[in-house]
Amino acid sequence: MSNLEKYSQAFIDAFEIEDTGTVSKLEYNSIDEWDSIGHMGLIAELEDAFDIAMETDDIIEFSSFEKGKELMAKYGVTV
Amino acid sequence: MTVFDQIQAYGDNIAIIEDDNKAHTYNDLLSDANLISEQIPPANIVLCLCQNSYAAIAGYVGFIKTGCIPLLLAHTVAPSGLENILAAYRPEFIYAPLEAANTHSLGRPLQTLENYGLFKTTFKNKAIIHKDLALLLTTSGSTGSPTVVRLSGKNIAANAGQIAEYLQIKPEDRAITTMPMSYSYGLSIINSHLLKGASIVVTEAPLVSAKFWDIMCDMRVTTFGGVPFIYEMLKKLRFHKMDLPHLRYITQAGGKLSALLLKYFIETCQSLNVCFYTMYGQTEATARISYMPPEMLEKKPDSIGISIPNGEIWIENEAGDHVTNPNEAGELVFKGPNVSLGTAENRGNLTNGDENKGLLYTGDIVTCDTDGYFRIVGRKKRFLKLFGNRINLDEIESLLGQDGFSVAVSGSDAKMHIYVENSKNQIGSQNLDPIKNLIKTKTTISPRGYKIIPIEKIPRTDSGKINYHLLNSNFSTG
Repeated sequence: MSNLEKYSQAFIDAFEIEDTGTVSKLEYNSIDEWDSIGHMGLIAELEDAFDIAMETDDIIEFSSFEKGKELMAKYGVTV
Repeated sequence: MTVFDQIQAYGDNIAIIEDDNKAHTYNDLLSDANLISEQIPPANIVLCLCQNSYAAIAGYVGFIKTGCIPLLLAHTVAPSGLENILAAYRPEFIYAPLEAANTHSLGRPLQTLENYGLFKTTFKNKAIIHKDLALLLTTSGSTGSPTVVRLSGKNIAANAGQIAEYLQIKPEDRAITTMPMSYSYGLSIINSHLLKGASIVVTEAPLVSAKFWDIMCDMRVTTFGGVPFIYEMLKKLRFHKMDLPHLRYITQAGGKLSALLLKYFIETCQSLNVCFYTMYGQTEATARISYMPPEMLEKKPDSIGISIPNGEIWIENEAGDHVTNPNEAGELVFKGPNVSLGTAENRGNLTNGDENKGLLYTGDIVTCDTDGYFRIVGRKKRFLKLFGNRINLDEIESLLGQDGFSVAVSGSDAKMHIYVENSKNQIGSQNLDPIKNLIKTKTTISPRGYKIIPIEKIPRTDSGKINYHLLNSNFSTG
């Protein structure tokens, strides 16, 4: 699986998304599932998938699918 | 008597700070409170759709001061939940964010304050509301149930005073909003800080946003409260590494922290020099019933502590006798001036007076140790606390039952389990969508708060009742 696939899969699993075509458009609060509780689930999925531990600043800056891609680079993950 | 009788004395102290840095003094707050509430004759019901905003608090303060009776709901309430409440309580007025006016077709506002408007409804009511009634709060913000707790002005003032006393709230304190104001715990933080002339920083920014933590630092916040899932997030955000030099104390209620989380926060708060209060309560007691003195927490981490000041806790067994033996279990009974008048299901019940007479049977089964500290060991009633919100499991069953689903609802505070009968094996994963949609439209329960588990047959006892014991032991796999 490519990093982009793994990255997308984390969103799909965390938010139980069925229409996988919309994943790249996701932002915090753009769907009911991505609330503060869902957010922590997403971070946990990403940390597991890439075997990383994210810093506080990155967890709270992680506001969208696109923004998250930038942040992943800090952990040596190129999405 | 109201909780806000004395607050004009705080004059030019800062009462509310908005998250764009706009500060409002107590004088501002009272004059805006008056602007809104003077539109309404006393003893009318005002349904308030609450945000954590200046306008929402100003309206609430005004209604309480002038004897109008606010019924507080979260502004995120599902339209069907709002309809239920409107039909049950026939409020004469609605105070809501202006954008909600379009969503719910409220018409033109009589008066506006910032982003809020006061709207007149078409309901006409004859029955006279009981003179002691001051406030209506829902017990389960999430299920859209019309059950509300009836609180008097004395209840609100008493509990705010009790809380301010054991937390030693000072005028220099600054609390930040982390929970909805319509939730008794969130509201108790607002009431107790205004009572002492302290300040409240209002924001709708989520705890997991950079904005929230910028506000925490910039506004020099000294305190906040949280239910267990907020504490889970704080740990995940590495609270122990945060630089929060102004933080003086934090509080936790709305359910039990896991032993691991508790240990983490006891240690972290010691190293950050922050007082950590764990507390217990119910909306039926306005908010708070007991608290743990921080210095005792390490010694008795699984205890709910001792009665709040000016209250009394004892234990009764099933025969109604007082339990005096240490470690013998029974129901926690609380007596205090903050015990609500009673509950209501509809407008007709609002003529009722004080049914509890200061005495609350909590439904929680507890023991007491030789030092007089209480510990919860079980629950008499069938409810869960999901993310701090009380969920009545029988209500969820009947909600889904109305739409033809044969379900049994159980689980733990970590996750509600909805067992759906699937005798012919016809339910695939897509066919769970109608249940998910029903939960989504009729409640505000997060999709993360429950799991749907198809099972062949719901186990029942000989008398035909659902056998929850068997259900939990057979299917409690996750």
